[in-house]
Amino acid sequence: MKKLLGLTFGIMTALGGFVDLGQIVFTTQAGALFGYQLLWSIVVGTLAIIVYMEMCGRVAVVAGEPVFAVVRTRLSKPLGIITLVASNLLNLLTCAAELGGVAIIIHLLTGWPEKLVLLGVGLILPLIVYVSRFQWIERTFGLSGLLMIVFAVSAVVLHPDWHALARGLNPYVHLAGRHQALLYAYFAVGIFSAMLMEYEVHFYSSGAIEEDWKIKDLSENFLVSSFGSALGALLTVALLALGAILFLPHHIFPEQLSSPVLAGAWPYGQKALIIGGLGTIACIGGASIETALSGAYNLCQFFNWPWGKNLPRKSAKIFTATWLGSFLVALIIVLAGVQPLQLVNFSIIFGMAIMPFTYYPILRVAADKNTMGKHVNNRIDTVLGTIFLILIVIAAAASIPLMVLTHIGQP
Amino acid sequence: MLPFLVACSHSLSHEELQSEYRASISLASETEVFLNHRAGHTYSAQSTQAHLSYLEKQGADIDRDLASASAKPPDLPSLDALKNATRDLTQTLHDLRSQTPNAPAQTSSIAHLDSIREHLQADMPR
Repeated sequence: MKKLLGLTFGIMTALGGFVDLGQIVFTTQAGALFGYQLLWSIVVGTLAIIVYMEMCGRVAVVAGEPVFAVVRTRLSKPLGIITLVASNLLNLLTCAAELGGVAIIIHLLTGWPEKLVLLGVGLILPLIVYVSRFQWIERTFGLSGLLMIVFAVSAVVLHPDWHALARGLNPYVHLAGRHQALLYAYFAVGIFSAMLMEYEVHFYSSGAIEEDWKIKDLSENFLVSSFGSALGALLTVALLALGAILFLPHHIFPEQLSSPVLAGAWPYGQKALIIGGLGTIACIGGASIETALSGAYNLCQFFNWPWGKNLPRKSAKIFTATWLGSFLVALIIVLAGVQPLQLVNFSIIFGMAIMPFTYYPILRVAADKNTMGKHVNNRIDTVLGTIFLILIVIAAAASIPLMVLTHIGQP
Repeated sequence: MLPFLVACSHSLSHEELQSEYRASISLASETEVFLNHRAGHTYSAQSTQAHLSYLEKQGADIDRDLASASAKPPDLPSLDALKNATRDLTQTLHDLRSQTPNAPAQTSSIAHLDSIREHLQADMPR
């Protein structure tokens, strides 16, 4: 039973990590523009996040070092500080976007005034985090996020073209014109980036320490990271399929969060909308919690201050103040009228640009025999980690030029 | 998203104008598809209103950005046609939100959206 509950950690990390506001809209748009042709980027992103989540969990357990402690020790101090500032700014933007996303879904389900809902969400989510132990946060949001499975059911019921879906594993496609080719690259990079958002690994490695994992739990580490990520990937593929089935034939480029959420309920109507909506709230709300906590984890780990959701609050004052402050600033940003979808688009692309500085130190430590002893990377881990790191660097270099050239992915 | 970028420079290139056309066509099409779908499925009034309000806001955003936009002389007629169609589309979305859903009104709205979309597709610069 304990092992089964342990899976909720991986589920919350992965669902909140890559089935968040940005991925929901981004992937549906990719399906609406290119059908199933970008399936391969979901597969590559999933494999990459499994490899790196497993490494993060292993490093956290064996070396007792979560990600930002690794960044502190393996990057130079100025580069480490730049990475910290950039990561935490992105966490803040993403947290604001996710809070806005939760308010949109609640408004869609209830019709309650969106600003009022936003205020309520901005108070209730920090309150839940404040009063709950880490394990209960992960279980509540991880298990509720499973309601999003209604998206996968709807995608299957709507009869996707399975052959076209299988052909989507091949990245080489013929595209008409330069703009289409650039858009294709932009969405490939965006999907890949959204699946590897840094806060996932920050949250996962810190969570492994919060959960007090020991060496004997390492076998669970792979199971937790791969099961959660596979589930997240399944939902991401469902979103791509819904975009391809419902929007592509009608030349629709969905720009509202309500569009993919309604698509997830398409065959069934209101009841499915409520179930899918609640699942989406859990995933997006989970993402806002992950980002707020990640900001606090990053800061305290980098400066070696006491941190941990399960520590008495008096012992981790800076940690508590940081995540509470993150929620507050995020709420102010989105209350000021900044559109959540604009925020999240920027955070996905700029997140990609700084991603190598998070993933490179993880690979270095996981492959370091002096630190990891007999739990050091095997050859396959290192080869896969290196290949994915190269892909991350290429995507990082391409992300901002692609954003500019495609006018932020505008068809 | 594009309006965010073009907010500073109000002159649309040929490619940007095509992109704005696609945005309006997409919005008209999405509204039409949603109304047709709603006719065969049960959705609460709140959910329908909320989704239509987001679509209306999307239309209003395009409308607002087009209002201050200009284009090179060969594209000016296309830009004017787009401005008119988008204004009409946004007004239709506004009316849809304020009217009580009933079959004749819905059929009429769908037909009007269809006509807006067809005009946009015909007027879109190549």
